[in-house]
Amino acid sequence: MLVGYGPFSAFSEPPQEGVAFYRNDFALSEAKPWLVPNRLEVLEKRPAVGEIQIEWGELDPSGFAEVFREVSEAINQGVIEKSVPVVTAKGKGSCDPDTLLASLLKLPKALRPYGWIGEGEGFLGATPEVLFRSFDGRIYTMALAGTARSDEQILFAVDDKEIREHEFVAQTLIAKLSDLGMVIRSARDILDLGKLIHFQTLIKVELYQYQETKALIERLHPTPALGPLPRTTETMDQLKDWRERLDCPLEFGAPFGFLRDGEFEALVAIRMVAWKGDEFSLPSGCGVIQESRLVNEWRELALKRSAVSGLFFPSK
Amino acid sequence: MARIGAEAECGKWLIFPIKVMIPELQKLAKELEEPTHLVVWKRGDRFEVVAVKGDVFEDAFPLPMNVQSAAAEAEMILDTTTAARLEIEQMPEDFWESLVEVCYGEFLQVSILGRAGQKYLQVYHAVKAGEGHDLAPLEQLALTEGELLKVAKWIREHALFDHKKGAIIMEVLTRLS
Repeated sequence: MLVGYGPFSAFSEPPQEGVAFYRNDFALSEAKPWLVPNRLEVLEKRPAVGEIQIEWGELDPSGFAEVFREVSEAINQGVIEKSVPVVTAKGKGSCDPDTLLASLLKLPKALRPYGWIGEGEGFLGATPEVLFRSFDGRIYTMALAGTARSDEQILFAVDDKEIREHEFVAQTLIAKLSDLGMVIRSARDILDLGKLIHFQTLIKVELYQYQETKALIERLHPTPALGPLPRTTETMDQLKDWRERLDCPLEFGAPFGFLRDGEFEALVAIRMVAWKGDEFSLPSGCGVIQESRLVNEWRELALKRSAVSGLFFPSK
Repeated sequence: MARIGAEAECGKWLIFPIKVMIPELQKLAKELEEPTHLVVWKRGDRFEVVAVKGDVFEDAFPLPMNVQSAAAEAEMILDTTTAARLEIEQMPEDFWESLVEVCYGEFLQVSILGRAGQKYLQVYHAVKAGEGHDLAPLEQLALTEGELLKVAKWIREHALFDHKKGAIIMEVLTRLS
């Protein structure tokens, strides 16, 4: 993995040349999200240091149930077609960031490491989702939505609810990109992540003309895989309220990127663990559409959390 | 690093997949037995070695024996096509500006050619390839008039192409201006 070391110089606009990391929150409210590192290093080894001592609390489903009801109501009233509430497991304790980093050095190919280690706070994750990659006049992106356990693959492939949830994302992405260039969509496929599987559709755009990186981020984030459909100021505010009530870390689902001389890649910051002081958060989100049922979504959230804790906290 | 949840403060790090920074060079780094500093030109998913850095920048063609051996051990071929075609003395001063430095372990330091150097090589290859060459990588650099003038001057001063390429040079520079 590539590590950028601080102190970082922060900018509101992407630098014209050289490299910069892009770190923002879900609402893209960071004034200076472009961070130029002091130096770069390719990290291959990082030994785990000490034991992880975190006491994880029990999750109370009542908060999620209330939000789920509100999302369903908004769908029934025709205000939205889809939204993505996030539930966060909380823990208290301590561990060495090297131990978390060591977990990121042995990821399967489909997962990409990302993260930020600050002063007494940070987040680290392994995401399967790329918001977009742009270089040489092309954009590569993906729709990643629809989730099941790996052993349910045969049923998952023909599950109308999951296919519909996925198609919301794929078709919205295509609609958002079609005026920028020639869009080429691959066939819907299944991405196998070990414990979890997702539907994945790869999308490529041959741009008619050069597009600013910042404008592309604002155009694509959040996709309906993490955000509301339709995306308006009102539906984003509504989602922000649901996320806050369920204590979701601000960075969860945000774009996290790397720029080098105009080439840019942004990941979607999911499958993460975040910490502040001795408090740890393990968020997971689920796409809610008309056909969604509370029990199934609660189960999906647990499945996603289990995939993340299996990576970072195998003994949890 | 300080333990999370402990009182001491952590250093500041940002982490991203190596894919954006030439992962192939990790294999080379493992095989090197002495400090080596390469200057590379990253072109999309490919890369070329354009120079070797000691006290000064030196030609990457031919590559030093230790690098050739390490590459052979790593079962990789280091592309030095452009270095073989252009003399290092021909490269203008600003070619070496805004290099991105990346450390690959104990023995390998890599400088990735910045926008300043890329503009010369991108235009050189566009002209050399002639009609139908994909100019998207050059358009992505969004070169200013001043930068294009520098490239035009470099091509002319070093007589890099014969008169038959005149029309192509004009076409490339006009499309980018």
